[in-house]
Amino acid sequence: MSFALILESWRMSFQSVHFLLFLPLVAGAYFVLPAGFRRFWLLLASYYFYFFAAPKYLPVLLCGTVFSYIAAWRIDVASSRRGKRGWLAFGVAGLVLALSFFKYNGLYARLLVPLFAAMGMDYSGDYFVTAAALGISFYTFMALGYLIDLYRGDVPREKSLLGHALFLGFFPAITSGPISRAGDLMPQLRDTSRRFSAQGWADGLRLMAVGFFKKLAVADTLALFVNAVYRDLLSYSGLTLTLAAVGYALQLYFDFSGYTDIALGAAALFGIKLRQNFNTPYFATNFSGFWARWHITLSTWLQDYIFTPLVWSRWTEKIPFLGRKVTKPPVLSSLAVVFLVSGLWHGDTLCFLFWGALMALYRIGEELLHRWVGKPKKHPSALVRAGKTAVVFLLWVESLVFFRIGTPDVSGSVIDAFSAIGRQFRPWSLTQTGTDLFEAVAEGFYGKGFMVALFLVFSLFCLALALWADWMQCFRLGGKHPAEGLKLLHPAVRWAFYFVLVLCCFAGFIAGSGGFGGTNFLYGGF
Amino acid sequence: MGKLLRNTVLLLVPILLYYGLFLAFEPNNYFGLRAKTPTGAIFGELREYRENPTTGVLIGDSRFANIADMRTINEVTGREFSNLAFGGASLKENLDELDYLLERYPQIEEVVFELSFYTLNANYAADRFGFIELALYNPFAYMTNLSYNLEAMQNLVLWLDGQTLGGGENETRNPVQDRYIQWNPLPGGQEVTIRQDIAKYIEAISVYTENWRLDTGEGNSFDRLLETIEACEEKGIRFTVVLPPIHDAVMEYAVRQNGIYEQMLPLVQQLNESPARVLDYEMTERPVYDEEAWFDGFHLDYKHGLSQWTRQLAEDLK
Repeated sequence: MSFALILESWRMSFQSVHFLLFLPLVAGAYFVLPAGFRRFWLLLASYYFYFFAAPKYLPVLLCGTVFSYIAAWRIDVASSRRGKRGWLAFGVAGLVLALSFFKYNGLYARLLVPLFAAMGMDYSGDYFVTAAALGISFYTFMALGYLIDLYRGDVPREKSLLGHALFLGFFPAITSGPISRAGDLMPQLRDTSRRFSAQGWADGLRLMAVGFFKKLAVADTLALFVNAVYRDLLSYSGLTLTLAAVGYALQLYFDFSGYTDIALGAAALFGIKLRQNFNTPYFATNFSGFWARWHITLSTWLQDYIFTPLVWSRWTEKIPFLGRKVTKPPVLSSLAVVFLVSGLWHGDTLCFLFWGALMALYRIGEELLHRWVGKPKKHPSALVRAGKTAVVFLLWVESLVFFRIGTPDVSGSVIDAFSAIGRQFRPWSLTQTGTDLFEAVAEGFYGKGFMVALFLVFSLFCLALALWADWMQCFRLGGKHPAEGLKLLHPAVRWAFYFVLVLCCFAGFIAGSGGFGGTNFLYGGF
Repeated sequence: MGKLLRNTVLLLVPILLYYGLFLAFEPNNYFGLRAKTPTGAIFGELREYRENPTTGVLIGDSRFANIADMRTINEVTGREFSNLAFGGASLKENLDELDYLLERYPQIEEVVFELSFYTLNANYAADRFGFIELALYNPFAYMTNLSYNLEAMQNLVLWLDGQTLGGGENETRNPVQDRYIQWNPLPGGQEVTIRQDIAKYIEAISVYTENWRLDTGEGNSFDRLLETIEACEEKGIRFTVVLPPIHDAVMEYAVRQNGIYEQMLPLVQQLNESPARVLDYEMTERPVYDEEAWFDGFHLDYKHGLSQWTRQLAEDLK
């Protein structure tokens, strides 16, 4: 058996059998080991996880860790403010360069191939075209945040290289966040005196079960339909394209929030609390609220390290000629910069940049609307609230058409995305959409009508359950996670829910062939 | 801690029960729990081959996989063969399987390789051998695979219905009971009398035959086959390519009608010019069988036709 086959056979991701065996062993051993050895154990486990998830990118993670450690050390020991700033600039530049190389290599290839061709050189771009290094966007942003906080004096330096490496490589958060802050996570990782807590484990496992449900039973089942449509956009009718766009918005949300729940639950097994990333964003009534509830750790990172410094720096005043006319703090222009950065953070194609621009447009448009017609009522009627929620959701859904078409498996252009949106308005046919829906999933079930029907009923049931849980979180649980809400139920009802969750997860797990050659978490690719 | 463990185990009870059923009804006898491995069950066959490797191997799709009577082949040829064919295999999968075997079993002296117009179709490009190889070593990959889970549940339903599991050898069809219909293979053409199931079969495979296309791209499977034949020749491995028989109606209304026949002949010619021996029962030296010899358009009936062809193949391989 070749080494490559062993790696492939035991590839690690949250939805793999490997992870289900790995996690209880690592977490169980953590509490058995002497406190002094625990951080080393956790780091070892984290690198083991990363090695089996993306072996060829482990050196990138190690180099990034050592580089950011050195930068942090130099910032800390520099005696002057200027010296600290110089080392911060060095650290930020190095990390951003590494991020741009390992994340945007496809863009470089696209730019370099014609350049080499113009010079008469035959270059295929193979050297550059590799998948983005797993999790690099997330751990680089964590490292950048840490260096800036250190420079500002908001956090002390982590003097131990082991502690620093663990902060960046902690396995529950390494592939897709949440983007933790040093002041939040470092002290928790440093504290190894925690004792095993059965209640903590129960809470963590409950959170993980909800996360697996969202991922395996909801997002992955939606993916079958959504992926089939996006692979062949020209062949589908208006209603099918609209449903696929809505389906992708739901898939993306349940995939990423499911991942986050599993990450938070896994960290909870070690007694570590990671930051929440989602808070029912699809019930937001405006885009300001939406971004306060969607990918919260990225939004707050962008706000703290880009938006706020930009506004305070009054950067627009420094623009030659135009700057003299500026008198107000550059709030709207800084918002535009933040969303363009957010677009680029997600991907290197024009589609992502356009998506970022669209988000900026939504957000700035909303600000201007508030300035001109006044801020809306804090407690609108249910009907108004529902209408606003629907508008925000639909605008978001359409923006994600650019997002989805920009992903590598479609690799379409902005024009393709506009065309896909335009085709949503072609005549709607329920019969045709029914056929499309059947054909999209039929291949996986040998075209057997009964199996396909069963699968569709299962998918709809799981989606309805997940949406209901979100609704409960927003309107009945005061923002508490549904996993917390489960604890409030009568034991018999609670256990019924547990069995439903476990069985749906298992069915979804099998539908995805246990992750062997199956799907990954969508945000692992960003 | 005890309560947590107890509750976790309690939650896993339905899954454990399910896997109890899975072990009893999984289609490949992967764990070797049943006395007999069903024909064409690739995992069981590869595992058995690992334990008792022979010098000869049969590689192909269901047409070869159905040959259960390996004793006849071995007795008539006087050589030892293992049947490692599996249902639905594409040409690429068969070549991957052969590469895998040649790499691991240097004692292989003879390869009998099935090829047909169906597996040469560029539109029939199943590519599962990587997964099969992976699952061979990782039982979790096997146990969580959707296809095998569905097949296990299908076997359970058959068992509840009182049918024998993995009893491909017992499958037979009495043509007397088959309805004959007037069928029009071409819109506006002349009607012909044909077995209803054969007509349906031709219609079912039309999705592949009407769009039949030979892959001519770089590294295509046919070129890869020729390279493998050359490589085997260099190693002193005897290589026979077998094109299995197809029903006359399939030949007429699927192969000839779609212009596949004309494209196949040069390929057969190329194979004849290669170091491989070619036994072409499909295009050029078609044997004549009674109607009752056919299970469907591609497969010979276990009781009526397959034994005849198995003996003929064995004689020709001698």
